[in-house]
Amino acid sequence: MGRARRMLEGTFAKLEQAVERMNTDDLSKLTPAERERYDGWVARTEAINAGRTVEELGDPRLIGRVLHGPAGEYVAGIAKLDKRRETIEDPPAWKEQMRAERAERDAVRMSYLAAERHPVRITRVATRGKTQVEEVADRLAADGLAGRPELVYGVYRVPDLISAGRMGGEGRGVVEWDVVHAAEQDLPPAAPPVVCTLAADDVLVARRIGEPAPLDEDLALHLLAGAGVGPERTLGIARAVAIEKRDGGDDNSSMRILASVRGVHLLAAAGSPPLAGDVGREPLRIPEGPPEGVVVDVLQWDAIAKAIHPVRQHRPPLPSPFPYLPLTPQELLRAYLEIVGVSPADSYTAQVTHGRPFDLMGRTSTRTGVRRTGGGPDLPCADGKPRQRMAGGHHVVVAYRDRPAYADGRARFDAYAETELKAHLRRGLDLRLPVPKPSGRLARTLDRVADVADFVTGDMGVEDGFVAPRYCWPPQP
Amino acid sequence: MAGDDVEHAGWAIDTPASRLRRRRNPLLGLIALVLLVGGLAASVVGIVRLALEAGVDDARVVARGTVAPLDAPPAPPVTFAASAGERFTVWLHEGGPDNVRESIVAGTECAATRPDGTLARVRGSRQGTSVATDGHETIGTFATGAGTIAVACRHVPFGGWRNRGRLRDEHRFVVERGTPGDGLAGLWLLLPGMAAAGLGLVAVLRWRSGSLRSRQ
Repeated sequence: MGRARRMLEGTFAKLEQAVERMNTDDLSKLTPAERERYDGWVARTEAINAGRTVEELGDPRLIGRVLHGPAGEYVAGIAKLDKRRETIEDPPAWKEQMRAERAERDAVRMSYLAAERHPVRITRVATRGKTQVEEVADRLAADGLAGRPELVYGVYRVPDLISAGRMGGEGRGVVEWDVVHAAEQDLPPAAPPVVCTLAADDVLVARRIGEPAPLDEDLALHLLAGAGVGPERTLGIARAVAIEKRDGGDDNSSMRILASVRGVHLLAAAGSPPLAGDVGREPLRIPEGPPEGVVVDVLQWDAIAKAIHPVRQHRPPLPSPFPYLPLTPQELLRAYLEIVGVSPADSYTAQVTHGRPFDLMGRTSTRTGVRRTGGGPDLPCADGKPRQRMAGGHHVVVAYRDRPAYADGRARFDAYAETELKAHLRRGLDLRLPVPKPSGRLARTLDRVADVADFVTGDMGVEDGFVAPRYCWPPQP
Repeated sequence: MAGDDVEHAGWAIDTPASRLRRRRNPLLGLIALVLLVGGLAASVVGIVRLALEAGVDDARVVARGTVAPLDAPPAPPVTFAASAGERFTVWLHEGGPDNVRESIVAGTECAATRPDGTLARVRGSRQGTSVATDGHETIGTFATGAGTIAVACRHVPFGGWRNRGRLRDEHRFVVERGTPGDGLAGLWLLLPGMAAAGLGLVAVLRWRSGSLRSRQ
């Protein structure tokens, strides 16, 4: 009996070891966001085992989510909004309400602001899609900011789609850019800036399978460092965001409007050395993350937008269901810069942008499952002409030369986000994911056959879900 | 939607200090306008002409007769004068659903007797392409010699037994001078007109977005 029992115990022990090994293997395959959720569940289970109650720990549906508090409960489906809640339709009244709510948020933010902070102005200009970078560069020169890069936090393509219903791509359409700067008076015109654009599908960075893919800003910052161009000479690192419509079928039921990053633009003051250097000659071996002494902070915006801006073609409904949350990504960007106290002379980039391909057709109707390209009022554009607009923007990205004061500022911003916004804005970002293994020859052949079949059946444009990492695909052997 | 955080500052290159300016090519604008307006006008005229001219035109009808029903005695032929080499079209006068009408047309056969005694057989089931309007569909076309032409039509068995009931009804036919294509001249305006309007639209968009030029 004793021998049988020992054998049984030994078998169970081996089984447990095998399960442990499998769990460890599985965990290593999780993305950072999945790992965050997993760790959240483990911590919750441990807390319950330690005697804490479910009520104390809150609703488990909020585990791993960006928002908690009332907005988090609404987005997670725990709580519902009052459907009888009335919203303001009249634009002047809407604006008045927006200012009133903003004043309250500004008052709350006051206690978190950096003692030494710099002005933050966001100037929006209109360009044509095809020549957008040339036009923005020209504007920077005309406004004199190209000659005063120490006053510029960054520039970025506004990730909204303007006139979604118009024919054709963005080439001839209106694309807006924001210039985030600290200039409080007119400057004399300056020489045009140095501009360098890197394509995301070029193999510019040497990465092996499993190594972390570089962030657009990582690559740009290493190139700037290599060229000896610091933030005081940098006007911006702007992700090249493209928004394109992709038909999914005859009935447009699976039509997508994809915002994706095609590359990155580097803009520096006139007289800067060539920014790209030897890039492209052979893949660069750059370490993971930004160069030492530089911070790249990425914050979630879309999670907030889901709560306060449910239909992206409309104005956010006011009174806001969650008036403690910022109403626009620009407000969040400004809050970050003012709370951390980032100096424009230290800033490489400040942008509202996208990361992975993002379908703007989500949140285009109040009805679940309904996706619309139209609808919504004409809203003001940079050129003064009102047009229909689909609000995009997934992340807020800020990169700057670090200083001890900024570390305190980041701690203040984290406290502000957690306490006032009730948000974990760095959750679920999935940055610098490991480079995946390319498919084998057989899988590639099957993919090509599937492409031909899609072409014949008219399903071209339907994505298979794989998103190649930028600047390092395919990986090095 | 950008709230008060954003100051709208117009077009990027629309400032006195800009080195670039957007130039719109007036020649391209003119070509775009001509293509767009001309194309649209031609399309409209083409549609109007098609509506007026397609199908049976009473002015061109030379004879009207009756198709002898299936298993009934032959109907009397209709006659008309023709000159040498002229072409004529026989149209069945029948409305209704396309599939029913097509069966009736396929079960119709006409014989045109020329002045020299030769016969031209016109069979609804053997025409390469049939042309249908709301109330008529072609049986076929034939060429004649100079003199008096006699045309007689009858229904012949076509399709299964169950579908032949309609062929036992009496239908009317007309003989029209010319071919069905004579009434489709509007297509020569409509199709190029639409193509020109499409090109014009592309040209307008291209003209509107302009191109960047250095300000000298």
